[in-house]
Amino acid sequence: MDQLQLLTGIGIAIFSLGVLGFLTRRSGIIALMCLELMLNGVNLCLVSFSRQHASADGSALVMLIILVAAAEAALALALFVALFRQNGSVELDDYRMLKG
Amino acid sequence: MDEVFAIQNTSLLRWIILLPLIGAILNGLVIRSKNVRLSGLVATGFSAAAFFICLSLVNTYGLFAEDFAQVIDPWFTWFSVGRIHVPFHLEYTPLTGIMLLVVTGIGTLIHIFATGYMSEEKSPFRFFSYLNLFLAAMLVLVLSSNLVGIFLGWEGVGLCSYLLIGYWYESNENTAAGMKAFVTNRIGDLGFFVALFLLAAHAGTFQIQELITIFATGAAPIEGGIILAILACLFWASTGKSAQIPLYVWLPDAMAGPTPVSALIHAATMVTSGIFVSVRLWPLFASQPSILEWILWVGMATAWLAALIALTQRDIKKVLAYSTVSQLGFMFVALGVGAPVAAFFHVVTHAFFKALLFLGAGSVIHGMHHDQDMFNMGGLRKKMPQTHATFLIGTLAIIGFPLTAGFFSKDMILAKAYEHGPLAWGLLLLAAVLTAFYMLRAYTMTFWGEARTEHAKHAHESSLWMTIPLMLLAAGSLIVGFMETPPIIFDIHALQTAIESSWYGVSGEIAGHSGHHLSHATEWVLVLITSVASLGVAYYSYKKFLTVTSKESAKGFAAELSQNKFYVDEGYQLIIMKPLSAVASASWRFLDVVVINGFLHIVRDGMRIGGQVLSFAHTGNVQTYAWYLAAAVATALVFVNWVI
Repeated sequence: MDQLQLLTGIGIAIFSLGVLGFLTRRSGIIALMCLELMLNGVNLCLVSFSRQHASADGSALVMLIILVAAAEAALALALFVALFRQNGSVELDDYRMLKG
Repeated sequence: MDEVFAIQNTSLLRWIILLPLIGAILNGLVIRSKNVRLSGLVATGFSAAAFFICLSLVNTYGLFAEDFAQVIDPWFTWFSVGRIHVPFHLEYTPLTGIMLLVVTGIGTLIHIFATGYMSEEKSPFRFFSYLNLFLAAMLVLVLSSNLVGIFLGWEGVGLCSYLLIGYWYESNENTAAGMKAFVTNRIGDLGFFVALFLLAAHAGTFQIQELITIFATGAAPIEGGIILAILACLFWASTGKSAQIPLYVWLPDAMAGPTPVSALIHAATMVTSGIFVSVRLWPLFASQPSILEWILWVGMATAWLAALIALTQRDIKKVLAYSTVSQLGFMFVALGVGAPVAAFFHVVTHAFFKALLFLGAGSVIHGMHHDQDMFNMGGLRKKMPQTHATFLIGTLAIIGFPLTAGFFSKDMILAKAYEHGPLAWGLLLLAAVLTAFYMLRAYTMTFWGEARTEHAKHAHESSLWMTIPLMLLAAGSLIVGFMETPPIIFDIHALQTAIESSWYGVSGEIAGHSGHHLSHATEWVLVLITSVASLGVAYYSYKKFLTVTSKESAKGFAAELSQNKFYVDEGYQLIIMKPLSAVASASWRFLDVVVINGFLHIVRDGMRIGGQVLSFAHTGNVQTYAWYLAAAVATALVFVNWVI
């Protein structure tokens, strides 16, 4: 297997771990970390594709994704702080108000 | 047939209809006055205006001339669909001219009477609005030149009859009577509808002139069977509107309405529509002799049945109501023996004396503070002299006292019946004798003898509003007979000339009949027998009821049958109403409750269960939703890569 295939494979692996973690973890903050993992996995795949096609498009998109991920992480953490102040817990199972 | 008549166009005719209509709208929607005199005078004014237009028409175009100029008002085209063309044109012929004078003249007198009679009414504008509306509808019926326009008027008078019978709607009895009148009329109107459809399919025209000149003379090919069917349907409609067996049952109940209504609608005008239309279309009837026999015997049976019931009625208005049904039977008998002139003659004379009798009864009821039971009256001739005198004249007219209007018309019918056959004559004579009996019974119990209750003791004569129309109608009942007299007395045939010139040059002779005329000797014998029999029975009745005391009513099986109207209404309830309502109830219980409701319940439960099932997917947990997302993406990927 050559270098780029390996890179893409690692990217997919990181993404999948992120998905699995997001779907199964109890704590909200850990789920957030898994969300970041998914984003980074995608970043790695994009870099690999960019190298494959000898184009800068993929890398440009990676820069944007990193930017947006940072902003979104800040926002999400702020939300969790507010939620914790309100309800005393960040566990996702405790938030079922839309049930029914 | 050549066009022998000069046709004149005028736009005057439409005002005869429009004026009462405007009066109705003004009274009902604009002025809405609670003042009886005001509403009454407005309504009377418009009615009188229509009467004066009719007078001027008669003056201009003549009434009894042999060479009559046809007068038409080509107002507007109602509708035109395919090959069916229905204009709304009005027409003046001598026949319609006489009817117009009767309707507007007697109508105006009744409006004046009602202005006095309804003096305690709280919202009289409604009454007078309906009265004018009725007049407008009746005039549409009289003036229309085609059967669709006549049908419009036909339905209109039915509607106004319903509105006016149930006028005092606070009482359930009145509204039930109004409903009964309307529904029974409607059943008859079905006949008119079918006749119109048959005409549309086979004749292509509704114009009376065309029907008579083209189809009665056989100039156009149309099966005799079709014409017979059309005439049978029209006669069915007449049994509804003109109260013959089997649809007469609404008329006695209609006495629940105010007495001026009974006088105008159920004596003088609306109920004679059936006969009027039949006389208008007479050449068609004459071309189908088989239906005439049918009409004759239905009329005879009705005349008898109603007369028998009138013999034992306690309510003065009910006596007059059954008398009207009976006299209408006389008119249909006249049609049946092939004497349309006699039938229409009786329409005119009956309008006068029956309106007179009804208004007189209204005056009596007013004086008796709305007690209508004749057993509670007595001796009123001293307390109410004008009412008594005019009611007496009306009674004499209806029993056919010599030289009154009723004498001439009734004897003409009897003479024509004798020409047809002695059986018809004999039965009709006996019915006339019954008429004499029950009318003198009513007259004597009301005006002679001793006053039997406090109301009768303290009765007083009615106001001029009521007595003047009575006197004018009494004068009419004495005079109008002289428009058509038999050969043995003055030999005047003005009415015959008028009617015969209204059939557009077509003869009214019955197909296959040669009219045999009576000798003068025979006529004298007939007149003498009729007069002696009627007057003799009248005198007997007078003596018998002079000494009646309160609460005493006839006993015995026959009397009970008569008092209970021969249980006809009860029979209809049993044979028609109960089965129909059972079917309706059963079909409601099955079709409505089980089938339709069941289906709707299934839909409702299905929706509910479906919703409950689907709601399991909404856990409220974000991670569950993330699972859905992941599953969907995975499925899509598989689908795109390996399936497509």
